[in-house]
Amino acid sequence: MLKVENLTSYYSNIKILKNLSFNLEKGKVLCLLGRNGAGKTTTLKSLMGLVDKTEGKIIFNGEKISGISAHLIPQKGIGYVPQGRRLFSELTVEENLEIGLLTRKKGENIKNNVLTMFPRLRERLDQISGTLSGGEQQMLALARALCIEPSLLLLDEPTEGLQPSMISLIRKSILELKKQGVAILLVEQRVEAILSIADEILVIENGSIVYTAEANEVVKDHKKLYSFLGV
Amino acid sequence: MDLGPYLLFASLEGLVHAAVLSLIALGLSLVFGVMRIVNVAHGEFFMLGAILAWWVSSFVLGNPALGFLLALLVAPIIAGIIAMFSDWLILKHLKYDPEATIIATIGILYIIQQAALMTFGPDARPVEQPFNVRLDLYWFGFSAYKFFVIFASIILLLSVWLVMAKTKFGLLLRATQLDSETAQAFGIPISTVYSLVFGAGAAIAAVGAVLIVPIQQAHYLMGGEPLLLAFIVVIIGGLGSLRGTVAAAVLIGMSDGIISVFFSPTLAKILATLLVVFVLLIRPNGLFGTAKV
Ligand SMILES: Nc1ncnc2c1ncn2[C@@H]1O[C@H](COP(=O)(O)OP(=O)(O)OP(=O)(O)O)[C@@H](O)[C@H]1O
Ligand SMILES: [Mg+2]
Repeated sequence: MLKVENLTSYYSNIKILKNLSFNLEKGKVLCLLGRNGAGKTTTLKSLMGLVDKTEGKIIFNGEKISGISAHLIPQKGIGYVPQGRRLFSELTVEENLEIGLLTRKKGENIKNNVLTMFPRLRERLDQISGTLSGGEQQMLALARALCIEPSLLLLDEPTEGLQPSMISLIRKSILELKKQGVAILLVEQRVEAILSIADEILVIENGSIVYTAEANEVVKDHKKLYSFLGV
Repeated sequence: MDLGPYLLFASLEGLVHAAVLSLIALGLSLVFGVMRIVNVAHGEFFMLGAILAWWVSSFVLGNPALGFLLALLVAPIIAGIIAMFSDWLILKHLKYDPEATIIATIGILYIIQQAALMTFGPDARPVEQPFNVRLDLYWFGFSAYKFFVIFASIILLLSVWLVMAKTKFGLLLRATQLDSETAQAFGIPISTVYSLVFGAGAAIAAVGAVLIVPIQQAHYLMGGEPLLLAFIVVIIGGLGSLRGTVAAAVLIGMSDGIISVFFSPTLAKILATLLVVFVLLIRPNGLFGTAKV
């Protein structure tokens, strides 16, 4: 469903990503690991068309989406949860969801489904999103992306700064989406947080892929993966 | 005239200027708020509104109200289109870089100013008042048209507020203002939003110009002073804050009017500038601005 071929990205002419290639199938979770500054966020941003300049090819559902305007990408069915959540912090919870629904016609239904998944948000529709707790903000960031009804979901460190109960809630949501057939590209720092839900693992270093593996292989033998992550 | 009535008269005059000033400042503040660029050419869109009002109304003979109404419709549209064109031709290619756009809009300022001079000439152009009624306010007579200017400005300010606060388009603008990158990731076409905002900012200033030109006359150099005052208003009110812009416009417009009547216009400008220094020292984000803006 997602095919990335030789993706190279630049920020003001500095090469950040170098010839990344990978595939992601429906209902699978691909986990992107790497140290700080390795280029994980840049990879997701490149997929969303938010990087100054990219080369290579990104094909989504048989359609080339590299090079098209960034605002056209969500309507293809790609939902994005940015690192640090990036809520529209002065807007209410409901307004944030409205923005998520911009590309969709039957908005009320979708909103209802999403709020059923996160009942805490339903109680707080009129609250300014910047005043939500960290966990609630992360829920909203996920809920906002789900309003797109994505068939591909890009998650950038969704468990960053959350307590264990919140992390397990996020994990549960990811598993649920996976069951529904959503393809998920997940960026994580903590390996142990993702091993159980990932299908495939990809390690980036200095903008290049240095290691790929099936998750079940890694479960059997951590050593090699850990050596790449330097933990 | 006694001091009391004289003060009332000066306040009313001040209110007329405050009304128009709040429109000009609103346009400037909207553009800065959403696009994060300082539009130095903003005063020229005001000037264009005034000159176009003269030009358009000169085609309509007979009842001056008809020409005025036509101008009120056409001048802001043309000014808005010229603004959108300069956005498309220049600002877009600078990727709205905050510094580059300052230089670019200075360039746009001179181009528009010289183009207006070459097209319409150096003379001050009068526009007839759409209706010529004097209201008797017991101590003095006051033009009904000036009340209309105040009224029309309030209507426009309220409409802009309604659009920003209550409509889907307003929501898009606020989201773009808060985080343009994330806005794109949710399907908001920010280059279209920017173009519309730049056009709307110019059009709002042009409406202010059409309203004031029956009192003030149109001239190709008339954009400088309102630009200065609009900057003062926006700094005092807090950049990007609608409420603050209106409050500061009333403060500056009224005191400018009153001080000009009692003392001199120069003193009024000096005091306004001092107020800016004072506000910047005490509250660098403006009286109504938040730290984040
Ligand atoms: N807007 C930008 N302009 C210039 N350079 C950038 C920009 N964003 C990121 N970079 C650089 O690109 C490199 C990769 O950054 P990226 O954010 O993709 O890392 P990351 O793997 O997500 O790191 P982290 O785990 O800390 O989030 C870094 O060296 C960073 O400094
Ligand atoms: Mg990152």
